[in-house]
Amino acid sequence: MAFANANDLHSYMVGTRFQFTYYFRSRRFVGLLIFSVFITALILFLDLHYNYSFYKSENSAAFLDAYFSSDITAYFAILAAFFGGDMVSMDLGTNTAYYTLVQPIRRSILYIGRYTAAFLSTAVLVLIIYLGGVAGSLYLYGDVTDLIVPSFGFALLYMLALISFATLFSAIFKTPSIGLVVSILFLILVYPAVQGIVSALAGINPWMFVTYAGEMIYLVFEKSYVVHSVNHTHFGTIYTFNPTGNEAIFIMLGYIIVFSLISILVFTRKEIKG
Amino acid sequence: MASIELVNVSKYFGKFKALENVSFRYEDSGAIGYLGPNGAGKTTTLKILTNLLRPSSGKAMINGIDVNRNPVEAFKSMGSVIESPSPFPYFTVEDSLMFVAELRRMNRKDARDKIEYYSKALALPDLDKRIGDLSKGQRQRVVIASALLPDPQVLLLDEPTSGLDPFEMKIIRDLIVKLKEDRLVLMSSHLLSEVSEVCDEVIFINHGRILAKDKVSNISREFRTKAVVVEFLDQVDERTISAIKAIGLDPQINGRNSVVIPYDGSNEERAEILQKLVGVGKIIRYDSVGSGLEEAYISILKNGGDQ
Repeated sequence: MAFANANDLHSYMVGTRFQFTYYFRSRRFVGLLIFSVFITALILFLDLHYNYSFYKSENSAAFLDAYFSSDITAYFAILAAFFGGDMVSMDLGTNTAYYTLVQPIRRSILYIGRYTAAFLSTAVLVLIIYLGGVAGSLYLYGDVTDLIVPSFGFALLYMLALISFATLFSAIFKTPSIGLVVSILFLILVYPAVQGIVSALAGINPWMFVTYAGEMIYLVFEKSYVVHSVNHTHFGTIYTFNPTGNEAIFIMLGYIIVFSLISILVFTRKEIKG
Repeated sequence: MASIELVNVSKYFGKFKALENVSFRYEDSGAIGYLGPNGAGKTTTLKILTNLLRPSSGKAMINGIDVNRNPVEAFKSMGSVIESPSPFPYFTVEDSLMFVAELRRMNRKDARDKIEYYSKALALPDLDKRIGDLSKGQRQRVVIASALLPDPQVLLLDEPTSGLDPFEMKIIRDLIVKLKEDRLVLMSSHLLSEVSEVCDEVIFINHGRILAKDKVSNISREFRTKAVVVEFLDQVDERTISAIKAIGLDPQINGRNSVVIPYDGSNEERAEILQKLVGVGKIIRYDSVGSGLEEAYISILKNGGDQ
């Protein structure tokens, strides 16, 4: 499919660099950068101010487990939606197509370059959140657990999967802002809600939800955890599912491959009718 | 050798027939005007030639390369300005031009020299200005510069002066006249004066069908207006009309100071009429009515395709 020759590689490098420059200067990146710093500082402040004595009696892994199991993974979904939600429609839904799509670069290469740039942009923002976690851990314990490395790896893989998923909406909707809003709604409202119903009530392993795989970002900090449990309560049976590391990797890779392929197909086949 | 070729190209949008068996071939250098009213199929043709649309049937080729099968190869020797392209708003003018230069593997020094050249030739805004802050005309000139930067053999321009002020229009027209000396330019327009000023050949299209194509000079000759308009310094009265009739002409009053006089269409008779009229009164304007291309446009569209 991609990189059939050296020319493609050159086009990919140019496309990625210019797209990253574009994202880096955009209001959305600057806004999210400020918001990421703010939200990191706020969570750290709340954790350290109200739960200082509790965390002080724990260790780095427990602190980071709690730090990332908060709503930060939902914030990752928002970041992905902001960069993936208009990745295809930024050409097809605007007059930019008349500038970019008439250059000697394959559309699939243009897509991959843009995907890489979106990933790099979100990775910078995710790194800020991780640096916040590291700062908190250093403040409390003077060290940071090595488990931060696999967690960061899962976070990056999760971002790739989320961006890939969000680009599907940018391929479906012609107006960039609609793709963006719909992907945010899907990732932070629809997916978690349906995932909860499917897993907790219906007792089905929610492997089809990328948000389920994303839980691995904080589960890696737990020494051991129950993968599957069934609890009988007054209200009925409640099922619990947690992904294993391999399961999470497979789900995320599946999302990256399937949704990227669909988006590339739409991007390469779409006609610009105006 | 540069060439633009369409072979029996048809394009349907559902049941709507946007193009029907359109064929033409041009090569070497020169400018071809693609004329037709709004919705005639001009932009659809250019979009097919830039792979923004795919033909329902037929083939579109640039320099012998099928654009829809191998767009990357075809685009290497082609520049285009279709509709009103907009580079990314957060790009500066320089970014927008360097993006194209780098994608086309231009040498960095060459790219800088060309950017400097087109900055002057097209009166581009400051290179560090953001695209989002430019006016429509400024943006259009940046996009035209980006299309010209890699020295393409073939240029496709879709109403390149649309939305520009007269100053900007003149810059673009002068540039096209210069470019067509060693490049092949296909330019859609509905401005007859523009086509007649800039182009060597013309294609008339309406309702997706080509109605006529020929050299601009041939078309103008064929449809030459057979009347001259004469404007006198003083008011045209009965005495003036009688004097004109007395020298064997058939004037019709055309406003307070002017008359229209039919003739056989030849330059010789036009010159003779002027010579005769000099004795009638002080002439301040002497011209043919309308232009040959305008007559051709109206006549071809009326007879051939405006059903």
